[in-house]
Amino acid sequence: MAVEQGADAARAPGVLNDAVLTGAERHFRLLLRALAAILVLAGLAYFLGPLAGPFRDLYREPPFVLNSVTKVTLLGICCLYVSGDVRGRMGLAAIVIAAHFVSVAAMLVALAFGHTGGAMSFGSLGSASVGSVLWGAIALDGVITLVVIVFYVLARRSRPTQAPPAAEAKPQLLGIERWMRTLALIAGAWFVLSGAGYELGGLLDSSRGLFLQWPFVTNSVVMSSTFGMLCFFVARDIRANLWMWGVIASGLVLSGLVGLAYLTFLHTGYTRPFDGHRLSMTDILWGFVGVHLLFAVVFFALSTATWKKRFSLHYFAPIQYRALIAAAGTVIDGPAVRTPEQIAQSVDHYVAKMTAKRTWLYRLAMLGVQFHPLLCLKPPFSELSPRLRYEHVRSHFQKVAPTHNWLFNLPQVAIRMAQQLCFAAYYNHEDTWKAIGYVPYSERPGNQSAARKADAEHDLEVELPADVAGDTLESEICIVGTGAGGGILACRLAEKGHDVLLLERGRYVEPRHFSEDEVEMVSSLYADGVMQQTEDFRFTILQGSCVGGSTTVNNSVCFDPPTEVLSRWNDAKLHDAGLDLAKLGGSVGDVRAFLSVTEQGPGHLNPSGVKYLDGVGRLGLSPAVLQVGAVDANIKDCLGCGYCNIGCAYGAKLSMLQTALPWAQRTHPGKVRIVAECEVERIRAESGSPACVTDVRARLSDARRITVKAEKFVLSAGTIASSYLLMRSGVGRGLPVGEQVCFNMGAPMTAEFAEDMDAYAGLQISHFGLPQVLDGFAFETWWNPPVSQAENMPGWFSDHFQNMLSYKKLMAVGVIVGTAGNASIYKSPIGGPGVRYVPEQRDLAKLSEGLKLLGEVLFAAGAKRVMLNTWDVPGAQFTDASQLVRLDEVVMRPAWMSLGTGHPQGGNAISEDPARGVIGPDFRVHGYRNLFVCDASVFPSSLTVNPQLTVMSLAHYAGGQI
Amino acid sequence: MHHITPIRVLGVLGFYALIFIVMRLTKKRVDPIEKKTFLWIGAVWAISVFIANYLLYLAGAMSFLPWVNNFMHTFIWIGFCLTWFYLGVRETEPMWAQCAMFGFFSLIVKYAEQRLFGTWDMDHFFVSWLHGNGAYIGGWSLADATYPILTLFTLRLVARRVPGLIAT
Repeated sequence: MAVEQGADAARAPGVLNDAVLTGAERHFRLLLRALAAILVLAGLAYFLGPLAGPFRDLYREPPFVLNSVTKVTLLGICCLYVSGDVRGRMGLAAIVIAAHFVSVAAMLVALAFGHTGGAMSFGSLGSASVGSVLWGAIALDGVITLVVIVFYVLARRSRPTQAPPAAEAKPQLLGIERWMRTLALIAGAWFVLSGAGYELGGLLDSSRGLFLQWPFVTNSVVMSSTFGMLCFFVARDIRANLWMWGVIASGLVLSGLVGLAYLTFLHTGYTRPFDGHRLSMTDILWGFVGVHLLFAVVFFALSTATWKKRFSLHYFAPIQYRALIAAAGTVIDGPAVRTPEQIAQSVDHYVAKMTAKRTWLYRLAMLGVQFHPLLCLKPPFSELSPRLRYEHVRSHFQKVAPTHNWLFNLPQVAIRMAQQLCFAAYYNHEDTWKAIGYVPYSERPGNQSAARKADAEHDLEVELPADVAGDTLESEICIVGTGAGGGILACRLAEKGHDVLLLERGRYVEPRHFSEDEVEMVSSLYADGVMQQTEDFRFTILQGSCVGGSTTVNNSVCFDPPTEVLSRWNDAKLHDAGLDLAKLGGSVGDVRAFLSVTEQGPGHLNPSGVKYLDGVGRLGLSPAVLQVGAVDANIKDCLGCGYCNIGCAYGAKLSMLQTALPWAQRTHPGKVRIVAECEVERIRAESGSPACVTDVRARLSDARRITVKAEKFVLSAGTIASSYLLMRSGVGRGLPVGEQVCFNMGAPMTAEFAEDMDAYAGLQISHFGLPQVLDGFAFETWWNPPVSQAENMPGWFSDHFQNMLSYKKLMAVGVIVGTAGNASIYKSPIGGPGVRYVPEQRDLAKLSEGLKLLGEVLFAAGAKRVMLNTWDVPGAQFTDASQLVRLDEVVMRPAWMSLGTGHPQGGNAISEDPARGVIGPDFRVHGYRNLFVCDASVFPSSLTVNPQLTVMSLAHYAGGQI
Repeated sequence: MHHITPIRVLGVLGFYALIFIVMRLTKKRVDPIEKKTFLWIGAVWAISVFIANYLLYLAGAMSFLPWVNNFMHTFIWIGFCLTWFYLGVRETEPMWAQCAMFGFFSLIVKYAEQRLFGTWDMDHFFVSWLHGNGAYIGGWSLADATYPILTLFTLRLVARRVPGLIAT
């Protein structure tokens, strides 16, 4: 017995619980796929027959041609479905065989008892008698039936004998399932009787005038009988066979659509005799279309309701949900602590609770995953056997080299999204944590979570939509955004005596509500900021979207603005920013003091940082070459919980949420007002020279629209949102709005050591490395709790899980490269902002250089292996420093790399020259009297280091001028 | 054959009013700062279309719109109702949706005017192969669907010279 053996067959036993197919089964599968292709093509030929081509005379009776189209296509779909799971769908294969038997029998009956003496025209080829056409069809169907039966029997016999499954108690059916079963029985009876009716119609004298062409009439018999058999098959075990509604509904919808096409394009204004009456062909065709579409609608509605009820769906439609279950069973190759159904259910709940606007992309991705196999002549993804799913993902998603063409990337993007969702549900579970050796902070020995977690109400007054009365708000100064720029600016302006109103698109989440639930926190604190990708889906841009902005979820790492970067900004030939650098230096100092920015002490640093420092030392990199150490951060009394990126629940991170905003309200009572869940959609400005912003229009999360009037408006919503707001408002036309966008492009290198690193138990970013001459890159140690780490972990299937199993022994260091300003923001056709970016070769070369140096550091520290996060490119894993030369090959093809950033910059550059910048040195938009921008979007070029302190310092500096 | 009687005029005005009630859901009132913009857009559209309708009739591209109908259609419908509607949707709806809504409203208004006044009666739209009155009414409705695009760009141009307009 030939057994399917491949390199991959033994590779993923954890994922694939179904046995490999025997040779005979594989041959049967091939036959069925070939048959499916032939039948679908035959359906197309039938469909086009009456519309075009030389045989139009042959297809004279549209209703029966329509049935013929449906019959062959339906059988084709059945063959396709069986080929997706040959061993599990032998029952459906039997229906295909039975349909062919019915076909032969119907034609024999017609030959025996019907009038088959007439002729059928084949256009210029001449004509043939109905009898000879029927005999030809019998021969063809007979051969097909015989071949299918032979392969079917061989496949059945070749199956290894299995012990019969233990008798299980029949599950109690839900009420709606019982309804579905009844409907299936009624529909089955209807279709079987219809089949008999078609046959009789051709035999009886009273109806023969309508049932003219026997070959098409017998096709109608087969169509109805097949629908009937499928309905009975569903009714036999409604829960197990509910998926088959997909086949039935597809056939019915197809029939309806073909009928509508015939009604539109064919001449049907004639009549046919039936039982002494004359029936209009148009009416007959409408009848066929109506009945089939009615059945399709009823089946669809009831089956959808059944799936929803059965799985308690909140967000996904049943078809997307089934794709999700199938994806969960395919991409996750870990211990079965959670079933694919449980994973899918968790995902459905998570996504339903997300406030992001683009969650519909998840639905689209699931549809993509579900229907992509059709392009390869396979049934939908959820209808494939687990092994075929795995092979499909491997050959069409994992192994295909990505490009920068978004269209070609869509399949990969879809499966990546499915994978991300599944990882989120799988790795956010305590049983999985045990399997990989992760201990949440609240369960770590000696933790101070109970003692430190502030249960008191947060000392910040934030208005939610329910608190906003009326449709107009007024203030002296309106700031859009509450992050690093907005927070500091609000403080400064309030200090100067101004009334300030801050509008924040994201939610207000009090620190006492920050939890260890990564998925819930990401949903609440990042919103769309977790779904931002460049237009080719290859580069992720993370941004917080909550009160406090990214400062609530970043790592609080503070670097002074590099002197050489500031010099370039002020260079009249380059950017001509016109900043007063001495004054800015003062602002840096003030912000440092204000936020207690200090070098982080050893008590709570990431334990893996020691290895990194050790590697630098062993490699002999002196401070003159590479300056290393613990990072400076606005963090005080850190506990080392490792949850910096999902909000600090212990008040240690001195974010805007924790400091500037509440302090400003406390120090300047009544001067600082914050409205959350309020998205500014448009800036309105009166034309003139200079133009004057009159108000901004905003939308609250309860869907109300409000107008906000102020004397001055400041945009501090970040690179993407600020640029997009200007663009969609038509502000700054003629200025380079949304251009010169740059990033600190990051690529982590993950290293495995023999001993435990426990990198999760400490600051997520604790150590840095800066070449003494800022050479375009920097190092930062970096680690995440399980879900985020899983999303960034190299490998697919079992490789991925094996890597996750080493979670305790792994550490990662990221190389950050300050990129050229070749990215841009645009108004995306799917709504919201889009980002266009392909890394420049020069930046990739810097990245490669940095990664090579980093690899050497990690190997010097004793790493067993280091890995790059790539799209499963061979050669992205290294076990020896000498192999690192391969990095050039991998890194220089950016489409292969999984790159991202949390530091988007530029877009509204500061410059004296309106041709080179959007705002002037006074932060005022060129040509506008009272509109300012103050956030990372004003950077003329990338900093390379974390931009938080620079943004805050610029806000402090700007506060003196606005 | 045109049938313009006071009752029918009231009927068409009533139809405008009904649609305006729907349109007003997008914008309850024109803000004081928008009044100048409203007047500019409305006046430019009303006057230019009023003249264009007659010139296109002379050129043989349109059927004759009696002066009362032309005035009502250009000044009340386009100049007032559509301008109000434009200010209501320009901030909130994507351009394709704005165009679709303008095309739809234009279609039903032209149809109503045809039913009540007997106007908008021509058997082709510009070229002979776009034949039938449906093509004529549909074609002009599609042309009207470009209102938001034309207004957006024209307003931006005008705003460079005329202060006090809200072109954003």
